[in-house]
Amino acid sequence: MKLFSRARMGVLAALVVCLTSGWTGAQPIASKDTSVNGWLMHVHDASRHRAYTGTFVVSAGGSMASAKIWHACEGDQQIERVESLSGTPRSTFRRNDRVITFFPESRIAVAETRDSLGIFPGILKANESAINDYYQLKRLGLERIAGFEAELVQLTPNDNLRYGYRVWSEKRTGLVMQLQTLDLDGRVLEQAAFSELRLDATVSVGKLHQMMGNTEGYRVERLELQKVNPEARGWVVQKVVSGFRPMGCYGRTGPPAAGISARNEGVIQWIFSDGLATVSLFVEAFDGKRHGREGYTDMGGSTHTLTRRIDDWWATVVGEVPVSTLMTFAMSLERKK
Amino acid sequence: MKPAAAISDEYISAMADGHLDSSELGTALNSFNADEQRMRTWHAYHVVGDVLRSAELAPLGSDFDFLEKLEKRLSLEPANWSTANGVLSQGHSLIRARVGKSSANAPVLRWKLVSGLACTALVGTLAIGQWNRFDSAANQHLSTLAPVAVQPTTPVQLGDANSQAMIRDPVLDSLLAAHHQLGGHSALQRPSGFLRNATYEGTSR
Amino acid sequence: MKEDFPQSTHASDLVLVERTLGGDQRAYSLLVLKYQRRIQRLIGRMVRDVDLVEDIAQETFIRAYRALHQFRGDSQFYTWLYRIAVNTAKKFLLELKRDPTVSGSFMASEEEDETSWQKSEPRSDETPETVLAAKEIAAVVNAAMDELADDLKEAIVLREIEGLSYEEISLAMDCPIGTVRSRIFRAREAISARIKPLLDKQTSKRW
Repeated sequence: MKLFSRARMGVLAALVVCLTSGWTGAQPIASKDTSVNGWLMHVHDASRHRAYTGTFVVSAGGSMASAKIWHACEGDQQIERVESLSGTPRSTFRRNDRVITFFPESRIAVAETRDSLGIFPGILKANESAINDYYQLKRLGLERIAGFEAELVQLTPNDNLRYGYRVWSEKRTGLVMQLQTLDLDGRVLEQAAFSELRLDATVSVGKLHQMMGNTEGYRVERLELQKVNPEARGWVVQKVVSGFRPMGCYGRTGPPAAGISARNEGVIQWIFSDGLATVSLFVEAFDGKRHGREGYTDMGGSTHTLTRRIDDWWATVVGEVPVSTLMTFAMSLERKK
Repeated sequence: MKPAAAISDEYISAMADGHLDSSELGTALNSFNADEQRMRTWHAYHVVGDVLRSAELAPLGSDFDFLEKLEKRLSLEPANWSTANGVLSQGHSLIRARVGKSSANAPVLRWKLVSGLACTALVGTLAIGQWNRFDSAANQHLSTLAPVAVQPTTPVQLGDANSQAMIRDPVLDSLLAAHHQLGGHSALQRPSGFLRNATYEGTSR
Repeated sequence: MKEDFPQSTHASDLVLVERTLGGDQRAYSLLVLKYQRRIQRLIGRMVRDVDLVEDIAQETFIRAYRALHQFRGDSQFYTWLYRIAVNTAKKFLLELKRDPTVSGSFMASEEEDETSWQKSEPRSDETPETVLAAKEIAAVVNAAMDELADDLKEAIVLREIEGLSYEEISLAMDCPIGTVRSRIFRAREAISARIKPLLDKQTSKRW
């Protein structure tokens, strides 16, 4: 029918335009490279040069949260939009490391710069030996996810201090389509995945820019991060859990109404990572009114928290690691003598 | 949000296409409660779509009679996917058991629990409302559908455990958000890590 | 198995599943109203008996409801529902086979392979009256389509038959997304207005 062919041509033409402007081509998977690093580099690079849209679902502890995703690229710029389908309505936009989240119900927009902080590929250099010493990579063949052929890779920890992962990356491009976090018995704690994906979709970078910058009607709050020296504050971690390295320590400031900072005035966040898993040690002054419950909290999924009182201080340890690891972190935090 | 009665059926049309953004979705869903006619509209729109794709899909009998019969039977279902203790799943029981053991072996740890709260499950971080777990012992035949077999669980209680309370702790929520914000040290940060955190965070402000 | 549902409704399905798990039973009703015709057609190809088709369809939706927390959203909801329907039908048929008081063949074909159900078997829930009513609905939809203004017709065809997203349609029709949304809505409104009275005739409920 004439109607259909006209429409199809238009859509195809648009796709061709987007493809030629944004894409520099995929690297083939180095099939001989069984080092975790090599594979991680490949997988990290994959999303940088593709435009895609889809639906993303996180299931943890039997519950589910989902969002619609748009991702576009233009030269060196990565731009993303995440539209929540669950929980508090919110739209998150990211352009490289600048992130802004719009909350339509409260008409507040929270803007922050997510400092590279040694994120890729620096993190790999810092943890190069760690990742390969503490995880083993096994390629498990191909599976179909959301209509795409994906290669399944299993990352198995060599000890009981961290979780394992199963990662499905799209065969042609390397884009991570599904990620499962496995507990020490190999059970799935959490799954984050594209439930549908359109690769090389028509995504207008200009449109996303425009939406991201349109703060009309919103009160914009900025969160700022400052680097903090934990030792200067009297804190020391005598023995870091093996494989983990300190990645930085930060404090936050922002206007009083900003969600995160108001509650976290004076809280410092000390971050540790083994390259795949991250643990945050939050420390603040002890407040008898707020800090009543020490111990472990289970929220489902792979993130656990633990609280502990240390003299006049209150520590909250958060991480995607087994609880025993969190306990070790909590116990290793000490006041300098 | 607009009052439910005020919205037009255009929302229902966009919702049927999955094209409502997050702020409109809640309003649209709530409007079904306010107005019975909207169910007819939702139904009619889907009949139109189905018939355009295949004339065979035109309804042979009343879809609403079918639905009414189904709803009667569903009202007899437990309708709570939960065990007696609130939020538990296959992951939880395992972790609790381990924590119990560690406590026994490490008396130096002063893990006190305020009475009235055992392990409190904080649903707030996912902000998906009242999640309930379903004791699927009665439905083992459906386990072929599940990626991981669900087993009935008994929680290990720590200290003085009275009834579970599901509470939202906004302070903890904000720490979690901060952790996820910077906790993208995971090499799997892009895209899944960032997306996972952006999808996962649901702290209301 | 051919997916003829436009892809982007998956997100909408996920939300309805989440809401159901959160206690909103009406959200489940919306899913049922969306998928029941396809499920009934599927079952009608496997099973001959009219009443049995409806029973199996009812049972399918009940089992899906009970197992809803196990749906991880990593496949289309219909794919998941389809499997439940097929398994439920097979179980019913097996039980009937075993029952010595029951005679006759209930299966549309002796093969249990689901791919054999792709061929167009006459459906078992078709009686002269129901067929007539269904044909009338289909005819009215087509007539209403013919009467639509070109831009409305194009928009709804691109959406429902071509399965394009609003963004793709806005490119194809060279108009803003808001216009796409409005055109699809107006097309649906026009056609629904014509079939709603026919759908009402089928029901015993009073609107």
